[in-house]
Amino acid sequence: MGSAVTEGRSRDGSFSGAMGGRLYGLDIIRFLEQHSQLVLAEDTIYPILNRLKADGLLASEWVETEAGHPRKYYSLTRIGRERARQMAATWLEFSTGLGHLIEPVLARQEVAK
Amino acid sequence: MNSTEKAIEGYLITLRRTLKGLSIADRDEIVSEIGVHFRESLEQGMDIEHVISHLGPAKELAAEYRDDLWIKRAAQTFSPWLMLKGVFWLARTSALGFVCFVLAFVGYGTGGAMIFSALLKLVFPEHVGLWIGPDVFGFGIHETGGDQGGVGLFLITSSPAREVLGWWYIPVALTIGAFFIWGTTRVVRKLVTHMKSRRSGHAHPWAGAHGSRLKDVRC
Repeated sequence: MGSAVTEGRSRDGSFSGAMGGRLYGLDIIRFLEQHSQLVLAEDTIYPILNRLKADGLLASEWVETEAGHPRKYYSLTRIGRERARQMAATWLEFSTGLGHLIEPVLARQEVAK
Repeated sequence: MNSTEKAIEGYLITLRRTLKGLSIADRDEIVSEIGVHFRESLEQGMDIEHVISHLGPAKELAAEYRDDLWIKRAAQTFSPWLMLKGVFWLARTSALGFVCFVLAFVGYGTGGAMIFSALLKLVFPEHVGLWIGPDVFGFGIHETGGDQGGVGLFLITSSPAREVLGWWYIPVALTIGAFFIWGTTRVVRKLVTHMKSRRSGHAHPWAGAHGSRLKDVRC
C-alpha cells in the first residue's frame, strides 16, 4: 500500500509540474525524465491524460506542427489548475511532516558515529 | 511497406480493435495519438522494438482506456442494464470490481424477479403470492411436491402454505422490487465512484494510483 500511495503522489505531483504550459504526450514524458527522478511508462501516461481530460482537469487540441503532422496538446483547465495548486500544497505539507519524522533518525546516526 | 511500418500498423489495428466499447471518435483520437507517438519516437532515433516495449502490448493499453470508460459509465448511470454491463467488465479487473458485479447481479436479479412475480400474479393469481406455512415463507410461485419446506422466491416444497396478500401482492412485490433495484444502484454506484476516485486520486490529492505504472524512479 505504501508504494501505491507513493506512486500516486509521484504521478500526480509530476503532472502538476509538467502541465504548467501546453504539452503533448511525448513532451510530458521527456519533461518528467529531464526535470524529475521519475519516469512514467507510456502505457500509463496516455490513459491518464485521457482520464484527466474526461474529468475536466485537462483540455486538449490537435495542432498542426512544422514536423509535418498534427500533435495533440494538453493544457490545464481552470479546475485543473486549482487541483494542481491543492496537490502542490498538500505535497509540501506531507513532505515537511515526513522530513520532521526522519530528522531524528539522521541525528541518531550522527551521535552513534 | 517495411517491417517498422508493418509493426506500427499491426499495433494500431490491434489497439483499435480492442478499444471496442468506446465511441468511434474516441477510438480515432486514441489511435491517432499513439500513431503520432510512434512517429515522433522513431524520428528521435528510437527503434521500433524499444517504442513498443515502452507502450506495452496493444491489448493492455486498450484495457487501460476501457477500464476508465466502464468506471465512468457505471459511476454516472442510473440504468441497471448499463450498470450490469459496466460492472461485468470491472469484475475482471479488480477484487472491488468483482464485489460490485456480485452485488449488482444479486440485487438486480432479486429486484427483477420480484417485479416479474408481480406481473405473473395477473396471469396466475392462484399460484403467485406471499406464501406462509409451518415451514414455508416465500414470495412468488409456490408449488407442493418437494421434499421439505423453504424460504425464498419460487418455492417447490412438501409443506402446505397459504397465500396471505391476495391482490395486495402486486403493489407489495413492485415496491420491494423497485427498492432492491434502487438500493443496488445506489450501493454499486457508490463503490464504483470509490474505484474512480482511487484511479484518479480524487478522494484525496495523494490517494492511490491504481492503473498507473512507474517505469523507473531514479535515485
